[in-house]
Amino acid sequence: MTKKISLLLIAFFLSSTIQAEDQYPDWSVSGFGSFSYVGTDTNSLGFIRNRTQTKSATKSGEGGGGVTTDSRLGIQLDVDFSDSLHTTVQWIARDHAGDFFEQNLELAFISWRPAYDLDIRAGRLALDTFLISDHRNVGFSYPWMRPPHDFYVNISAYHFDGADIAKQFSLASGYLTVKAFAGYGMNHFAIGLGVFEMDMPMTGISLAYETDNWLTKAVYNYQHFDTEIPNEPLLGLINSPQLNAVMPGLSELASQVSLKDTDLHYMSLGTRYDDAVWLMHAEISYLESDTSLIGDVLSGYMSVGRRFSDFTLYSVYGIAHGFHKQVDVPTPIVAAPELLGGQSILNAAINNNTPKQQSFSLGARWDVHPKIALKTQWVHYWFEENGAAYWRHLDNTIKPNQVNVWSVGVDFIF
Amino acid sequence: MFGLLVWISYFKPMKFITFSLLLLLSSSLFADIVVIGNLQNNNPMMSARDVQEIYMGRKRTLADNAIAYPIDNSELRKEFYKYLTNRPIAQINAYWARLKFSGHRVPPEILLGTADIISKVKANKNAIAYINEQYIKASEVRILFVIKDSDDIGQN
Repeated sequence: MTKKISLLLIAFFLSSTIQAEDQYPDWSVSGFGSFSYVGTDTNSLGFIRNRTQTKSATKSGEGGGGVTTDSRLGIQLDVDFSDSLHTTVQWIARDHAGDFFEQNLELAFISWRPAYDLDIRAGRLALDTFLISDHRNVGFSYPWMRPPHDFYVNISAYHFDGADIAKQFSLASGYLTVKAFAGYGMNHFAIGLGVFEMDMPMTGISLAYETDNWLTKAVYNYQHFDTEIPNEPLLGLINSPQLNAVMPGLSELASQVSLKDTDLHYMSLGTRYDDAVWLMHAEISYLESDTSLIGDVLSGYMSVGRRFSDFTLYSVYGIAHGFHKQVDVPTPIVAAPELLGGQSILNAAINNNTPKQQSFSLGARWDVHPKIALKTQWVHYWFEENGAAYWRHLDNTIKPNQVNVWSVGVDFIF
Repeated sequence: MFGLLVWISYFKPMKFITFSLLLLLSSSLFADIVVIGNLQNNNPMMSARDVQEIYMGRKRTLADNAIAYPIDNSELRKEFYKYLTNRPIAQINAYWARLKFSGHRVPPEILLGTADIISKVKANKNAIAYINEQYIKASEVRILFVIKDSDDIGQN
């Protein structure tokens, strides 16, 4: 009898193992990519898609354009170990400051679903600050060449290492997802002073409500800067005894060129409507910062598109307006060219970080294949004085107050 | 379509045969589509909305709260999603690209071949899939939902 029970148990475990092996682990490899050319009509402002990029589309004195701004190739491995255990690893080849392998590792997490409506993920996760921030690399998923520049160029990072927990509720005719996340971002950035790593503990909460055609999302995200930007050259000027002798009060500006131990608060509200013919996106956000290097910024955009079979025409209006208060850099008591030059450098570093730009875009997307879309977009930008803070300043010439950017490209998934 | 066939047959008898065969094939493609489940799936029949929400990833469970395992049929995917969402496959792919590559949800597995699909549904109690009604055998799977040929499949 005992033998029979043992045999039955062995048979049961063997059969369950075979069944499990048949379905799990269940893995898949997939990916996405974009290859695009972007051109501008300025020689002095460099167009970037994100602050992490090392190259701008414009080269100093040459103008023209480039292919690295909007081009990238991503590959993703998904493995299901069971109904409730899953892992995802995603790596993207793109222009990103810092270590090419590590900084481009976008996702590497394990997710566990203890209940059907509860997800817990731990590892490297995409930053979920705005409506499109966690899939902004996936051009095939949206109509534009890139997420609206006025809004998305200012997100400080792509990813962070930590965890999130999301709970889904069925509510009326849709689903409400409440998510909390926390972790540590170690992201590399390229600024005029050089490439640097910014370590940022962060946390946040998001509410997303989704129905057939609508997705509405509200997010609060807190970030703290644990490390410093490479501000030694600026501090060298500010703390120079010789300069302080001729520019009284200069040393008091040290805190104005520092990010370390300052905080960022992102608050955003966005909505997306898509009824298969009409497509609308709108977002507004307020960024609160206690450093002059970033400043408080109100930004928003609205995009409306209309599909004609496989062809989509769209327009976008975007705005970014900073509220940084002008910091007076002391005027040298001796009007020597070197001193005036130093004042100019400090003034630019402290007071030119406030975006004041608006843009209007017209564009088209043509789905030539279920997995391939051709796109083009023209954007016209307007800047207020010193308002091109989201652009690389390629030289010391007076900056234009209007710039055109045009792009053509292809997005695909596989 | 019939007028076109008559016109072609008037001039090209061989092409008439070819086009007639094509018509027969296309009519089989646009037969009723049935959503099927495992024989041990004791849940009530599904509504169009249930099917849509599971296939779009918004709802994760069957009526008994078991995690659903939806399977796409590569031969009928276009007609199936057109009926459920009135969207072409490019839009469905863009929708899933957003969810998949942000690491949130994984789209239904896409299988080619009715035999493989039925086999997968037989092996997984919580699997649901869709096939042409003509391939249904009551001893293998149960029907959870029927999309009639007259339900504007493939229209627009």
